[in-house]
Amino acid sequence: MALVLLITCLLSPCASVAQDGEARAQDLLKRVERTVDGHVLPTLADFSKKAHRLADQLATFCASRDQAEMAGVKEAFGESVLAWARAEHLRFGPLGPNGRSMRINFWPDPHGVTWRQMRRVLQAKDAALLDPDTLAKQSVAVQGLGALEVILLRWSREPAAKAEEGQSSYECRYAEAIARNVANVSDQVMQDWKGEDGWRSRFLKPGPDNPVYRTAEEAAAQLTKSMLLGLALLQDQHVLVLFEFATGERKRIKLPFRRSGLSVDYIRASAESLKQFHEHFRLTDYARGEVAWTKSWTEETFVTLNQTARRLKISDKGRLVKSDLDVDTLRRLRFYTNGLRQIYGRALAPAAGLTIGFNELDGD
Amino acid sequence: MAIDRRNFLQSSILLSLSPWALEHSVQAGDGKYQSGAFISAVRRADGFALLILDEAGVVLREIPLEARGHDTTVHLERGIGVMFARRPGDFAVAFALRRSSPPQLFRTPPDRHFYGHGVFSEDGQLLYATENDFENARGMIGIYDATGGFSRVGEFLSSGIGPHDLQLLPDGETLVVANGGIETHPDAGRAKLNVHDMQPSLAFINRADGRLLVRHELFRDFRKLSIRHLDVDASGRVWFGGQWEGSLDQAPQLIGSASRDRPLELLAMNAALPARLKGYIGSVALDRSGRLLAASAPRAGRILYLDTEAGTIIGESHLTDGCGVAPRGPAGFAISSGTGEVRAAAPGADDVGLAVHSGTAFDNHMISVAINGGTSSAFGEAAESVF
Repeated sequence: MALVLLITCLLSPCASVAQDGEARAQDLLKRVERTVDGHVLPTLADFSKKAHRLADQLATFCASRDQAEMAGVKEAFGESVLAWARAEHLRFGPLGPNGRSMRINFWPDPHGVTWRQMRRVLQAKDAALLDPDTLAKQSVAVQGLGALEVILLRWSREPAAKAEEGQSSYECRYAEAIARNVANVSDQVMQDWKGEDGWRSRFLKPGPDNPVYRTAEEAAAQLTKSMLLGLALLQDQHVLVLFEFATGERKRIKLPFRRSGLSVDYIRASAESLKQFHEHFRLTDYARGEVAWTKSWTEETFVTLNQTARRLKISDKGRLVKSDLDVDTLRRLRFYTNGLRQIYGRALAPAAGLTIGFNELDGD
Repeated sequence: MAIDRRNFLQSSILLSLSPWALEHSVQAGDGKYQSGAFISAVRRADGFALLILDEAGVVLREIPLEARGHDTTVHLERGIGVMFARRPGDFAVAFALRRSSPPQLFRTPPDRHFYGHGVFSEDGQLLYATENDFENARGMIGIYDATGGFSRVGEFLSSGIGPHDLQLLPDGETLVVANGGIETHPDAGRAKLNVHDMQPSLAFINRADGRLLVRHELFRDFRKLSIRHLDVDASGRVWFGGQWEGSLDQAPQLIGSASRDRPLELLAMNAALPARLKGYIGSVALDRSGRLLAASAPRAGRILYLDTEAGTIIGESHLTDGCGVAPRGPAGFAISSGTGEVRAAAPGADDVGLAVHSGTAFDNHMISVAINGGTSSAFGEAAESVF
């Protein structure tokens, strides 16, 4: 009965719209501006900055072949990966359905295409791929952060002499081309946000002549979908993978950047970013009347989600075994991510007068 | 009706207990099914279900599902229907149309999952379903014995990746398959793995031996138009609706047609229309005359009605999250939405609200099981049943 009461209310008008008409549109527009300027653009800019630093570090290393520079390369790689974890949910506008997110990091990769194609590329040593512009037109599996991880892992694992040989020749220049390509993509994304016809303007100036967002509600709905996507990615591609492996439902475990020891940090960075996103957007301000309780629940759960993610401890490197995983912690993470998805999509969005259609979130 | 935190916490536990055993039937007021009916997957307050509605949108019967269902296919003479799980679900539910006998659950093999669509052979002996061989990234057509408990008796290639809708041509021998071109893998949820490299197609396949008869593909510039939903007119012409995976400002027209001997052709319409439709057609259906096509664009809250002979839009409905379209009456449609509405609609006339089901979200597809406006055999005389 409790479930019936809950979902009936979530689906029905009892999740009432607090404000009507123009006042609500203006309020939504302020939230959109606050979120775009306070979360979206800084997050993307940070990723771009980290991506450039990675490219510069690789250029320095490849020029000097000084092993002392390798620590800087690995550090810059880790920073880029975690910056991407914080930006991954922003797959709309310049990072929308144009393949750029896959070019930055081809994931999920259930068939191991990245490793298979990278093996071929590194054997063939095609000089054309050392040009970032040429590389940009190749398979997404060989031009992003996942491809770069393959090279860095080779350097970490191979005997020193052989590794140095690789670093000093094709592999090093190819790694640099990948990093430069990722930085270029980040530049293109930032560029598309700017200008009179740019995506910031599209978000902040909805109207009949706007090619994408005709109303403030449409712009706000896009941001809501981004939140839902971020929670879905965190749940489906990270938490559930670990949980099902821990409970024996899944035999193989595939997490992004696990071989680099970054998969847990990736989860934490993602959870932190979604919390920050929420702190700017705050659809919870619309939670009144019968859904008023979702305000405190949502605020508390974003905090708890992050605290729980910080408690998550798994052995990233080497073979992961089930006994390494704390099922209870993972179960909690699953509950928090799923709960936030349900509340954001089915209580807060309707309360704010936003339409997140049952049949439109992901076409089928 | 206040919701408290305790309710929400309890709901997380209850959600995992699918009420499979609670299958129940809701009869119309006089205890008999009325003529004509619509079938759709829904999300209800207490979980997912299959609904059979009468022509007035009243629920005749409800069958709980373990997860979200998608499309339904029926064989009227045999009085059976099958609803398929939405991708990447692995279950399907066969049910008797004329009575509330227990539904029958069947599944794909572990290395396959359904894409949400299927079709019976003309004689109703076999059921064909679009499936994903996800380890090998191949689209498959699974074959099930509809006379023997829906055991899986074979499969053949769909001749593409990501097959979605499929239909049987009027010759009874040729299957047409919408290979959407999008690779997915259950380990990756609903993530699209190959948008950069999609190759959608419309494949015509001999159902007897799985032989590819012809495959039509889109021009390279349009390869991000995933062909997903189909309907077939009496002449064998196939109408389709697509889903654009590129930037909206580059989207081509989303609706088109083809036949076995005629290549894919997108309708020539207003260039701004694809972006206005948000790049997505969620369902298509021809009316009973075969001349009118309804094409729903749920992201835009619009349902277009097209004269297929003239290739022009002759009307539209505005319905928030409207997606389900099914023929109703001699020249009209029933339309349904994610907000629980069911309406009667026809070009040139105002929509007529039939029902609003509070707490119910209709899935993409609704089908009609009425024939020629009269009583369907499925709802009348006793029919052969596997149940």
